[in-house]
Amino acid sequence: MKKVIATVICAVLAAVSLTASAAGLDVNKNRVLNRLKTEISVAGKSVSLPGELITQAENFLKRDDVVITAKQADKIISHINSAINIVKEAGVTRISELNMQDKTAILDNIRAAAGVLGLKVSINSTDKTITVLKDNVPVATTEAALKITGTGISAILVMVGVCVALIIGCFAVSWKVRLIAK
Amino acid sequence: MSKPSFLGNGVAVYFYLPLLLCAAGYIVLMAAVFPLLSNALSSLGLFTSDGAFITPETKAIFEQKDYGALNVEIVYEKDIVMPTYGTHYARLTIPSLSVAVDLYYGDSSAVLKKGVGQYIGSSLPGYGRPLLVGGHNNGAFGGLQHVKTGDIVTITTNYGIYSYRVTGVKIADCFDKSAYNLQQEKEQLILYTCYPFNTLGLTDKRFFVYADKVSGPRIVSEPLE
Repeated sequence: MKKVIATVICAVLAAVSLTASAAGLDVNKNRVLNRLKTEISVAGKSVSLPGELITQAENFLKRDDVVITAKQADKIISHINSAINIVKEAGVTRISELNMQDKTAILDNIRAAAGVLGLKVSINSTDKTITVLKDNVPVATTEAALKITGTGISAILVMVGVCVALIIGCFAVSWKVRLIAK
Repeated sequence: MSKPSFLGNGVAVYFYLPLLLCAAGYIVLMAAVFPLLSNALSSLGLFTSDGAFITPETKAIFEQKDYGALNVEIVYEKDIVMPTYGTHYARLTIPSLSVAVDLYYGDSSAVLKKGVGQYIGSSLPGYGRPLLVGGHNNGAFGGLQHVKTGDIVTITTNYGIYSYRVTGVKIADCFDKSAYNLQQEKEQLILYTCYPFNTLGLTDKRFFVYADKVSGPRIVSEPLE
């Protein structure tokens, strides 16, 4: 009897600790994040998602307005598993080595997983980056970490335009006041 | 019909007068038309920067608080509000360089016009992981060119004040991923901006400043009750 009571107490404490220790990430969020972190073996090599994407997912999951039920977690993990199986069957270690059919299939799984939480997936056809959005605000992206932090091209174009307009204006004024002899 | 002649009109006509008119015109445009110009820049920026999404709106959750209330050793994760993309969530200062700027989560061009932006693939202060923050070299981070080893960078958030000591700088290509390691198991603050600092135009070089955490509360999960 004492052993039964001890076992029950341990089980309750374990459940409480599992819940209480995941203040930012509850059980369901942790399940999803752990699946994303999983390394897989492909062609004898260990493959995983880039760390920056994992961090973005973790930052998103820590938000209070993000709630994942057990069923939702199951669905998301199912799509992650499908994407993983595609990579395994293709036997490649880089996304760039996948054929178009496999890339499309993986993208479909990404969209479906994101859709479970009402997220949308956007693809930039120019630089081929993928961005996951919640209410049109990015939550994760494959964009480069470093951005343009100098004079932007738009400012350059406007400055050049202003200079050209000023030069033309100077010539027009000079012509009008007959500074340039006809 | 007589044709215009460019001969014999003097230096005053072909040099000083156009120069004076250019300077006067520029001053008038910048002073009187700048609000319209900034709208034009923003509009043009829609076509020349940032990808499929446009987030011109930014918001703020940062509140200037009593520093005494922020001088704690640990912060519980449940008490932290995770910012969304484009949110002003902290204040970054470098007293030795007279830098004091708003820090945003996210680094779109709209954000970088207002302050400095944190790459969302890096962690928030207090999590023991690296932070990557970018800013314009003709704006908030122009002063980085004068940074010295030992300078202190402070990030003040709603939940704590974090200090980082500069350990070094590096100039590297913008595609050189070895210039920053966001997976290391220590809290390193990495600031970056375009290089050279006075370049008028796009550049593929970046100026990196590395700083290690020296103080600030550690974020922990809620304890058992």
